[in-house]
Amino acid sequence: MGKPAFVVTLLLCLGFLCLAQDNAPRLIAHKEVLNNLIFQGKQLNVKYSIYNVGSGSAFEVELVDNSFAMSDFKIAAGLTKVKYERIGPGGNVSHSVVLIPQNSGAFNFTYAQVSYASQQQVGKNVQIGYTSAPGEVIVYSVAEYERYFTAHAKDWLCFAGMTLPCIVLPGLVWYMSYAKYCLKKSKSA
Amino acid sequence: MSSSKKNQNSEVDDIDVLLNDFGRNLSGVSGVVFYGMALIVATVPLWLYWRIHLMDPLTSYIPWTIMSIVSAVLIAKAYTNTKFVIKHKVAQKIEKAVAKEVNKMCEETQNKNYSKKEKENLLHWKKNEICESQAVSFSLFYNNIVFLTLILVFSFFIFKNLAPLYNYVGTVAASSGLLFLLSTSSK
Repeated sequence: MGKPAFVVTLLLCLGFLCLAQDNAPRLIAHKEVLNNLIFQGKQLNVKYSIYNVGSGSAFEVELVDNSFAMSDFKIAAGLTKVKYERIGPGGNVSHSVVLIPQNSGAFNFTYAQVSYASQQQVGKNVQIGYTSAPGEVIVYSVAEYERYFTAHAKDWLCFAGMTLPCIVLPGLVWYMSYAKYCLKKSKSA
Repeated sequence: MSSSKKNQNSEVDDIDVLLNDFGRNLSGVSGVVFYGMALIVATVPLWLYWRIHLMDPLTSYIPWTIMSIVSAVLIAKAYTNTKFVIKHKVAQKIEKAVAKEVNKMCEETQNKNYSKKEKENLLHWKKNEICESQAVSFSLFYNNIVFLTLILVFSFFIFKNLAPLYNYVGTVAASSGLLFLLSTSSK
């Protein structure tokens, strides 16, 4: 009687212990820049994705990104500090921020901070984690943007206007002489 | 003895005239036309680099000036080489047509009997004028087309990924160098 009871008790304790550990939330956060090319004065989209891969819900999830200096980036839409009450196990949330770079050059996009708590530790002990870091990003200048994307129709027309006299005038002079002395001769032959 | 010497001297003069007319040396007018046109054509690409590649003229004027001068010299040399080749080809083609025109001109001029020598001189002068005109105009036409095409190909396809300054130097050097090289062909 003693021995089976002990075994059952031990198994129950182990079970509870496992259950207690399995109920912990585990968040993975990803930060990515959606633009292929980033230009000064043009919109830059940054997306944050938070996945709960644990078996417990995450409470008071807070995402804070202070990596964008106000002198270099202006926020056009979205917030750099977001709070979610709960992310269930297996759940995910995503959040976007639209920025406008004020200067051109190379910038280091670092990680954002994610803090959350499990059910038992709400208001007591907060778990802190970090998103991935996109790394160095090049912001091209306005001149580069115009170089890549503007049609330059008027400029091409002016170029054509400048080059055509250099080609057409000598061509005409040559052809008039050629038609008079060379073509007539071959026709008469 | 003195008449044979006079004949020899006149033959030497005729050879000198032919050499001057069909040689590689540029006459005054042709030289001005060639170098003037070469300078214009060499500076036309600057518009593209200023407006489309967005190079700043205030910071780029030194490479622009140097490359424009170098390019203009090479283009003028290409004009001269092409003119030399074309002139010889044209001279062979227009002989009969010019002779016919000169004979007609001589017949139409009343009260003037041209000696054989005068007719020959007139024929030679007329032929040289027409050859010069055709050769100069064709040289300008052909070389300008080739140069401008090379500029567009090098600038927007081959060197398009380079920074504007390197793109400009590479494009102008390659285009004018290739143009000069092609002009040295004897065909």
